[in-house]
Amino acid sequence: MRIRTMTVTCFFALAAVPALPALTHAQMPGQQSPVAKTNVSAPADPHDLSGMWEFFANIPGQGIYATPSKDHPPMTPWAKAKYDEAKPGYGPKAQGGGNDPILKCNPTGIPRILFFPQPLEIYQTPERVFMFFERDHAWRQIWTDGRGHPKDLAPTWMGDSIGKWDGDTFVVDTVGLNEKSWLDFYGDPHSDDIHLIERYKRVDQTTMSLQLVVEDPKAYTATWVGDIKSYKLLTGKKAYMDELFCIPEEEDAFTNRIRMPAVGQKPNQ
Amino acid sequence: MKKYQLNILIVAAALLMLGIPLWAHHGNASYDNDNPITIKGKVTEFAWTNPHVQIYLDVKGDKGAVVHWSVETYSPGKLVRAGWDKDSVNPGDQVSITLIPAKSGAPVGFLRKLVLPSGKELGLQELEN
Repeated sequence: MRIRTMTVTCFFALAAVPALPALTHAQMPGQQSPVAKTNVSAPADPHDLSGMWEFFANIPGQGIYATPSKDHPPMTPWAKAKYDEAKPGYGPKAQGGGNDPILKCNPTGIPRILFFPQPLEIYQTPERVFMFFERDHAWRQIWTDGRGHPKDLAPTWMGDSIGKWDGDTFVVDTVGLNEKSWLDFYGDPHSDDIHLIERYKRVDQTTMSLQLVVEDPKAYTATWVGDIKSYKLLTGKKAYMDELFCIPEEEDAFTNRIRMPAVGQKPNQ
Repeated sequence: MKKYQLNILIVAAALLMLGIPLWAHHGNASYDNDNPITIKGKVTEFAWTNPHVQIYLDVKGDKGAVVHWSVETYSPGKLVRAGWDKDSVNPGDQVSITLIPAKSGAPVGFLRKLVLPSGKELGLQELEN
């Protein structure tokens, strides 16, 4: 079992998304093969989140774009200081240019990558749920074999995640996130004490919803309960993910050619 | 009655949102979202690259002076899902581009729609209506 798990891990790391349909042996009973064969008119299995999903800001009933909910809870002085340093491109402090860490190709990180307007593919195995993200060409694993979080985690960009079904809601519990990433596009910070809950639901064949719950007493004086984000299933030709690595020279070129001229600044040399 | 009013609100909200340039993932605060313009010119470069595909074109002004415009779009992946590919636009193409211009007044904009010489339109809509 351990060998198979390692083999699968290596396979995913090397082969990534295009090879996923070949891994049908790892699927849960009743689960459809991902993406290509999705029958959008069939009733959805509420315990099947597999498929390629994308957040679109312009669909009816969508939660607010770029942040868990319209207003963040009151910040602690620690978080306020970090927020004051942030120069985001979105939200109440939106400005051209700015110092968003992803402009330097820092990983987007959890939870921000979850509501990026680019697809994520979910793949379920008996032991883990995998998420593959177009943004950053990144992936994460959510253990569903009943284990808990390891003790003394070294904080990382994607953290340590465990998940379980609560009725028809897939509940993901994440700790061990480093505090280098912004929590959202607004420049709201989080600490490495953050405890993140994600609540996923298969609403219908082509819709999945997510509600984020952020507990981070070092940063916020109350729990931050997000609004309901909706994701649409990508099918047919739309079920496509590009290789979206963040490449420093591409970012720099774009900054020089577009971002700086747009705000009336001369390009860097 | 309440449900009826709610439906109107939802439709109104949806209509309002349709006019919004949905996302430029690194921030769209640089652009004037409310005042799109249309420019016509000759493409000098189609840069199919991350983080955002770019189109550069020369636009002749009323008095004959040529202005070099730089136009930002989305990432290649989003454009593929909206029906574009790396050869959708070529240098030399005469195109019409509707964009939201930079607030700074610089000839830089964020694309909303492109019309090719053939009349084919390319936009940013990934989901079918």
